[in-house]
Amino acid sequence: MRNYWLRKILAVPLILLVASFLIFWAVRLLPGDPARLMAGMQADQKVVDSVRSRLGLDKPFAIQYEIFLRNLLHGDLGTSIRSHKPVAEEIAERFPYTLALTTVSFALAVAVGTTAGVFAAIYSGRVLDHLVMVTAISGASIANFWLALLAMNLFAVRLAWVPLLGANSWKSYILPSITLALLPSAVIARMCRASMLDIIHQDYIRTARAKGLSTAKVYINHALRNALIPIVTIVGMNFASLLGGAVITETVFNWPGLGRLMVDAVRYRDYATIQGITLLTVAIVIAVNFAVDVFIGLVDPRIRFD
Amino acid sequence: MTEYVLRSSDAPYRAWRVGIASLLRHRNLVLGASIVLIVLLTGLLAPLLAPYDPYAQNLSIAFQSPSFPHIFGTDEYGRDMFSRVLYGARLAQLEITVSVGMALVIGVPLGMISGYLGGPTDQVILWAIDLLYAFPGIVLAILIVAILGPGLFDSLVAISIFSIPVYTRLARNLTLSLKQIEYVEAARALGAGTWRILFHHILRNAAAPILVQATLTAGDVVLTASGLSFLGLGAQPPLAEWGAMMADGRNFLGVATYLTFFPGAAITLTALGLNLLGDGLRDRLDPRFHPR
Repeated sequence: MRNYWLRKILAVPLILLVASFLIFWAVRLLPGDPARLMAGMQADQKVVDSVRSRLGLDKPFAIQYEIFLRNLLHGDLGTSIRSHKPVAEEIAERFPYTLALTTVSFALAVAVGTTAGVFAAIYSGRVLDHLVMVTAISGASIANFWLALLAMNLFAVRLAWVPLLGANSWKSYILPSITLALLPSAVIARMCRASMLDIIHQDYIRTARAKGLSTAKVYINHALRNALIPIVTIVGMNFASLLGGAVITETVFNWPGLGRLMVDAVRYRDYATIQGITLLTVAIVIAVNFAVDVFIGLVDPRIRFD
Repeated sequence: MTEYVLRSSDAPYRAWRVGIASLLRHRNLVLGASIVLIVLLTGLLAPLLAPYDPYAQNLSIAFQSPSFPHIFGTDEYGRDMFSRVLYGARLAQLEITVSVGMALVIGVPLGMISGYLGGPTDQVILWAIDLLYAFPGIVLAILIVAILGPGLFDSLVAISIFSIPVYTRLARNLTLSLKQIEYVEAARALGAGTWRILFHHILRNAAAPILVQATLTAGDVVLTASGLSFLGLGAQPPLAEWGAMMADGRNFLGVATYLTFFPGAAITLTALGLNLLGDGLRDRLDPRFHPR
């Protein structure tokens, strides 16, 4: 059992290290000379060379990676070519907006998805179940930037109930968070229904019913608790797709978060920023996956002894 | 599946009822297949169906609201939106073929080798997959597009790379269960080589669930590819790609909402068709395969 935890905990820094290497290597493949971009197109060769040696770009690849890692440990992610500000500072400025948006959407998706899924399972085969399933498959198929634009047109442009763009008040959260939550809540609802249906037909549920427990008690105390493992797994996996979806949602709503920063960075070939955001995103996904593993290990003792 | 016995005396009547009953039971499958078929035909027959050249500009008729003869209206260059949306179906087919095709060709053999050989090979491949899973799809795609440069083909390469793990994992799990089955052991006993066993015996029997997965990911491919084009990282204007058309139309939201409405509806309809079809196929196959 101690082995299980040891393996899980050791895997985190290892996978982070490999991911950081991959990102570092991938970003070096970006077209264009970063020293030239930084110095400016008109700068003469001497200036470009001095920038290159200042950035350490004249050193061998392995040494560059070592410097990169050392800086990373000090929270230094390099300087943005576009704004000439430290990348860490820019990320720190934008990250709270992305975090707030994804947290609200995530909470919404989990609440709506699990409730809809559980009720669909309880009323399986009836109208409510069909309704939930039709909504879920449509929710998984809808182009969220399309829905976002239509909602913006109706609620922000025509009715003016919510602000059109940006993140100025709590009202600004309504449209982006609903748009972003749509896909994960559809996926969670389907998974939740499927795992509840698996469990509802088990013998111990029949026993609980035979004991004379109320339906609500049977579903909440017995069925939902046992269906929790696949649900938590799928919820954790959806956090990654939520972070990805945020890129598009932020662009549509002009949300001042990391997703938009990343899209802008690609346009300007601002490689330090691309690198920093990708690293942060991957670190978050790894952390969430680890948290899911820990939670499942705590809830289900069978897994630890595998 | 229930077997229906037809008697010759009541055959026409029974056949009709059975037909309706099975249609109702598989309504996802039927609806999905119909939508996919319509999109497929639209793309193939676009040159015949489109009333206008999708790229022909005519500034004198710019920004016409949907009406006759331009039933989806015209854009800022006076191009006929209906023709552009029809031609968009061709690009959607290209996106699906290229992205799903590349992911299948790389992901499936990798998964089969991983499952069949086991041991260190399996460990390394599994580890690589876990690593890829740590990158959210779009973020990985943006990173790859940043390296390759924005463009339709480059965005498709990016999408296929992040869909590889899905196929690898599925093919691995299927191979793990199939390699225990008697006919595979018999083939091995007869002296068949690894490649022969993998492609003749395992792949053939794993093909159905892999195709279901391909149908389901095809829906995601359409959404992601048009999303990247919408961000300006995929297909570039003036290409009649649905996402790129929406990026254009976005600037005229509220004034000419139809410019975003029709391409977006086409994306959603296509994704819905593929998801329904994949779902319906999976339900039919489920009793035999439970890939986990």
